[in-house]
Amino acid sequence: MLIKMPKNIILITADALRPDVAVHLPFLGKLVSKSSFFSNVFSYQNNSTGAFYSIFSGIYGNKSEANSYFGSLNFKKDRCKLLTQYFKEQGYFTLAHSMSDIILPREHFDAYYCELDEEKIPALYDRMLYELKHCGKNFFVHFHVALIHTRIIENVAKKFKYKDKEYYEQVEKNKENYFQYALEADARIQHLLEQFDLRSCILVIYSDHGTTYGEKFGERFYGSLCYDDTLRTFALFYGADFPAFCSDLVVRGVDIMPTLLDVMNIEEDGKTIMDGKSLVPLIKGKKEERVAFSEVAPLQGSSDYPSPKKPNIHAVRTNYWKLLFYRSTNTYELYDLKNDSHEDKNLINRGLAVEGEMKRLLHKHLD
Amino acid sequence: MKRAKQKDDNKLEYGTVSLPLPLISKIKKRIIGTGISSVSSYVSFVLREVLSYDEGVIDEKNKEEIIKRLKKLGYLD
Repeated sequence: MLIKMPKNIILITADALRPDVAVHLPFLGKLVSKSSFFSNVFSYQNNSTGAFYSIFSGIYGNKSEANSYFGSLNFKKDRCKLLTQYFKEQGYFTLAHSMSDIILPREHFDAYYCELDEEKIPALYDRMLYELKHCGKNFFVHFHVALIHTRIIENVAKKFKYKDKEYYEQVEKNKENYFQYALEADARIQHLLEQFDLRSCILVIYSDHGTTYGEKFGERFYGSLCYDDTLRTFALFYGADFPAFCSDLVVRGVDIMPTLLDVMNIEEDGKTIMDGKSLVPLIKGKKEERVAFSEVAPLQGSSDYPSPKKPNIHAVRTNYWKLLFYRSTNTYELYDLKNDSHEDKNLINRGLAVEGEMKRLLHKHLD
Repeated sequence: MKRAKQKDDNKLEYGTVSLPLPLISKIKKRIIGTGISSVSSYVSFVLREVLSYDEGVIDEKNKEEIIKRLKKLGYLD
């Protein structure tokens, strides 16, 4: 009988990296072809706090109450068991870097470093690598590669207000700039991974949320509206348990945690039922439609309807349809994504049968 | 993966509340076309909204800490 040896777990958040860009990057693009890769992973929120908490808890923020940037204060620990805790209980050394402690839950990490200053990151990573090498245990480590975030803040958030037409009129330029930021992030990830013997590891690289180039007026990058470009992310699983595989089926950020538990044969504790489901059956060829639920809680100064502490835009998405509900105006939008991938033609109130079904799916989450 | 079964004591239990019949009629009209399947679902939805507003009140000191971090992240001026 083969004995399954514990594996080290490396999680890398490539903050705000779009899947359609990730596949064209020099390092990540090559890694994609050797990994189980999901290119249509929908984030619970297009802000980092909501996204991270849902990824690390396997439940949506409307249950955990980590549903906005302020959500880390409301997080209901008793409603879930964090991914970090599962590995801690397995005897792992747990170590994290995050760009802020309002983003990645601190709980159950043996050591947790907050660093946003890109100049200090290389030294921090050296220190973390030293700790991993000398911890004497299997490890569970999280790196937050936030270069895209940093460059967007420098070059977009600080230069353009959300109603500056100029920004939305230069989409091609925004796209080119974004690709340069993504190249920097790619090089950072490559350098980091060159320090590991990946044969003894399971590597998961994902983005917490997507980014827009300014195609939709009112959304400069992410966090204000609820369209696909800011919610669509990716998840790349690399290691002996993950065959080369590529899927564009809709899955969710909350599916990442149960996938890792599944591969590591760690049983869920039954304390709560996760919203996420393992992706392993899909990797093995099962075709399954999953429904993604997302919400947005726009900050002051980023929306006509700011709601920084509580989501006011909600969405459900299937492989081909998406319904949005704007609480502030009590209005809906419905999109046929098979024929309208840019969400330009709102089909609400056209008498389509799918409208009722999508509303039922949405209210299942909101109720 | 072995998926844990939801324990019996983890199941939601339901109780009964009384509403005036005219209000029930209004709710029935209100939920047409919304995807909300019943009067009970609508009442639960509205009450959760009201209660989450109270639960969502964050004390000023913690709020300031988050605002400080959001400024550091570049999301607020």
